[in-house]
Amino acid sequence: MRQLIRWVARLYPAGWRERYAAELDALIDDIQPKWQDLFNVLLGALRMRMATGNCLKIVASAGLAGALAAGVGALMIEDRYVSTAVVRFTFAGLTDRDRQGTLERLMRMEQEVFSRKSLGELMTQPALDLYPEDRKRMPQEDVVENLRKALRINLLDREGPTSSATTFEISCMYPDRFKAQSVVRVVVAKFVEQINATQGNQAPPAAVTLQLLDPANLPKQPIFPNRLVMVAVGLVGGAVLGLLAVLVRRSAARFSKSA
Amino acid sequence: MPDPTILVLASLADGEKHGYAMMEDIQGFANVRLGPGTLYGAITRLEQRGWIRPVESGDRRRPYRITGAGREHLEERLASLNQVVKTAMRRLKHA
Repeated sequence: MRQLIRWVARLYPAGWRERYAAELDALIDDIQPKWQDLFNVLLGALRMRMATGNCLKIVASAGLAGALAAGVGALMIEDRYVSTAVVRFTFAGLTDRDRQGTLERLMRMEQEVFSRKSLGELMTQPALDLYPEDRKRMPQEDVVENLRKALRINLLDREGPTSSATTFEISCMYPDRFKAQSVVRVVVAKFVEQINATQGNQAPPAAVTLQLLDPANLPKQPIFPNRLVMVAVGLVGGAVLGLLAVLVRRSAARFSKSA
Repeated sequence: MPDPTILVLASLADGEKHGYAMMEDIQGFANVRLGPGTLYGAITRLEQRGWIRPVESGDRRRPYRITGAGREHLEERLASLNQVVKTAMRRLKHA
């Protein structure tokens, strides 16, 4: 941290560094440096640059400050992994009316799998133990809602109303990649359970089958946050703010000269 | 946070101090931790205005002392602050 603060202290204007750098360096040696000190020195350097001029250096320093702030922010955000499985529901030998009824039944199954009770049970399964910290400090309903938001079922294709198959993508976003994969596996298994439970209502060729086209994958890279993009946005945002500050300062100087 | 320049002047009012000693002192009497950038920003401004002066020293930890003009400025600011405090206290009592 000391090294980082010293490096940031180089952003002070050369004239200032010549006079005070050794003292500031000694002070950095004496204190127990924290993150706040890093930003404090960075802001000090920016203020000093604003006071001494040089537009390009102000913009560059502000851009660097923005990138650094965004970088620290990005490091504090938890990773999010997404695991996905692709399943196909096939309705063999159904009439159009039956097919419509079956689709409605699938929607009911989805509602059942995503119900508060079902998700609550899923969340507290010892093997999954999802959102343990949130469960301690938030009402169960809110944590279930978070899990519901983390789960997605997307229709991938439906070849028209007379089609005999529908393909879905089931995905889960979670900070732990292994748990994200396990949740998708459990949700797929719940759909299988639901289909098996209702299968008795349909005679064999007129049955719904679930085919697992792609099993739940184990994600290698987090999908969020994209730290590089965040740092780039911080860099550009900081530079724009720096430029605005220079423009405001010049306008103020012009105004005070003309007054 | 109170004006860092006033805190630095108040810290130097009882004798010369270097940066770290000022930081510790200010934390002690005002319960404010000035960051290194804020402290040296204040020192720079105070020195430019002639309100403090560096003391010759071979050490990197160069001490500063308050000048006559600095003492005068501090007294003026404290008198003004004192007026505000007195007025506020009086109004609070009568409220």
